[in-house]
Amino acid sequence: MNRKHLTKISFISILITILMINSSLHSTAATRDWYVGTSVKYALIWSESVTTITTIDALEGFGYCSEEMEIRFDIISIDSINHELVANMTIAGIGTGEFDGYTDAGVISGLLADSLFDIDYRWDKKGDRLVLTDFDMHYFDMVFFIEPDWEIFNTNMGRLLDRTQIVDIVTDGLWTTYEITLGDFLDSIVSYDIMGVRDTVDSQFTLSNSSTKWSFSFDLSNVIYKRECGTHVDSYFPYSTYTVSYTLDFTEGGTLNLREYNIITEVTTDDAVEEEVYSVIIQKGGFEAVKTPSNFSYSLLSLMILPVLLYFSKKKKRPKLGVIKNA
Amino acid sequence: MLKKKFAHTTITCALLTVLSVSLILPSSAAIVRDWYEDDVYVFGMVMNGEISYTSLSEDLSYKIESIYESEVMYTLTEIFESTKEVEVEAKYDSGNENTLTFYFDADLISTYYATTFFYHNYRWDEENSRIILIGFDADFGNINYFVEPDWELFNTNLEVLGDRTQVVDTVTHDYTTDEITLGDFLDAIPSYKIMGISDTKQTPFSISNSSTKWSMTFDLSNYIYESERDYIEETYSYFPYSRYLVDITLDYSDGGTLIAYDYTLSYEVTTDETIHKGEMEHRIRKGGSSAIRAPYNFSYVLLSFLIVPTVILYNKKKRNRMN
Repeated sequence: MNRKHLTKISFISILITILMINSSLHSTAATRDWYVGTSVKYALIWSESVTTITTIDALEGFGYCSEEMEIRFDIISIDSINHELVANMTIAGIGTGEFDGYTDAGVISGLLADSLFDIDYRWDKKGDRLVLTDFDMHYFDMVFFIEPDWEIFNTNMGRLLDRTQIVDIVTDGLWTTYEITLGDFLDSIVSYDIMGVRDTVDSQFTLSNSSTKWSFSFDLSNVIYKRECGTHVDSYFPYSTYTVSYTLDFTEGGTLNLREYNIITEVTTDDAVEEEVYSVIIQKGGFEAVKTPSNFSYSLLSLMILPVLLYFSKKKKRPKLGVIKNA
Repeated sequence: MLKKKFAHTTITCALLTVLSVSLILPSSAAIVRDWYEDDVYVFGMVMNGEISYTSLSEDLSYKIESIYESEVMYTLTEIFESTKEVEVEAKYDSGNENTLTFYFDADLISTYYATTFFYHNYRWDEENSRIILIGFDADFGNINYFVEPDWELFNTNLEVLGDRTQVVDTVTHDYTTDEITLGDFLDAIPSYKIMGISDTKQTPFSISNSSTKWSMTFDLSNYIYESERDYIEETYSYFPYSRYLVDITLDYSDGGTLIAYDYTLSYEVTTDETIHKGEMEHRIRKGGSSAIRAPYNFSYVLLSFLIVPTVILYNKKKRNRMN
């Protein structure tokens, strides 16, 4: 019954996918919605807060910084051959300057795919184990307008989701080298959500070639460690909270709608309890748009990824942790 | 009738001053430190700032905000009498620790406070052929937590803050140099308050030699100007600040331990293109963050008491001169 049900869903989903791929072929022919004379206002909001309290004397510290600016771009020239644009960039209180932007979908998505994830493992000598000590995402770049070649864009972004890619290599100081793949990383963390699909443990991902929205969130609580350097050996403390989320959303015509990044962490070391919240939002429409709830829809994204997921879920039950040991 | 009243007030105040001075002098000379080796103090600090720009011609705005609250615990480990230094073990809210050495020499600290306190920047406005103030601050700088309680020496050094004849800036234009004194500055601004006394225009100040609290407020609204440079034309435009308020308070215990330090700056200026607003705050409190959050009761009573006779006497003299 369950199998039948799954097969039915997969079949329907595949049909819908094929249908959408057909219709999405038009999207490769999507035309720019930004021209010479186009004027777009963005809100750029960056904030960071850090709270600390020492474990012994209960000394309290709190730091908060934020920068909220509205930037307006007025496109003054577009060079289609070299994939460049020039815009006047106006910021209140600072003035107007020239903004030179690169618009090539292939180059931008290639750079993004190569640098989006930053994963760092280390060898914990004291605990004689591999520990994850850093996970971050490349959340900021000054890309506001791209040529809407979504097929090439998504092909490049698809590299991000290759579970077999090696994300870090660690040597234990003796003879053993450990290669950690994206799949190892994903299967070891508490939960994640990629393109609106949660906890797709041990599953392969594919991206629709017409997608203009990408979304990732990761919960690494109690999996990632804060490293404190010691004279002889380093100490590692697990973060009780460590969540990271990233959203990138363009219009069909290649104008940035939203880029959002959030990280929330909490860790207790020998000395102090530290909480940190960091957030960056770049949103089309200025401050007014930020106040309005975003209508980010995952329905399309889910549809495109589900068939593959269901297929893999059926095929395999999860084997736990995969660190490839190369002796 | 009025003269009689004045004389009466002056005599009463003078008597009270003599009384209070005589009450204070023997004890002030004999004041001993209230900070010793092995003492533990927690200080709370706040540094906040907010700056905003709102464009007048475009629908754009820009705001930067920062809040920094921290606590530090000082354990006094050793006092070096010969070099007038105190060594402390500092522990911070991050969990970090280090050893610091502070000077506690009353002469050195008060001289530093007095010399760094005022910052004035006047400029010649070529378009309107006038001298204008384009920069001002009043701040004690780096605050010392422990001071040898030699208040007589301390206040003698701080007297310079009330010296109206001191030159605060010089401006050269058209082959002439103008010297601007503290008196010129004080008489030109809308209002100020020194040691709790407001608007003592054209009046010299004296500070009680036993004072352990100092307070000053300056309102420079519509007197100080924002300067904007046109890099193409190589000219300056000036815009008056509609609000520019600076407030400073420094308070030590009789025995020389810092109790409170407050600095606030609030300003607003409208230029050709933007409304620019700013709020700055720097506070330190003995007792930690809880002390920062609690209301601070700074009493001006004693300060006013000691400064009023001088002010009244001077006013009287001036009136007589005018009569």
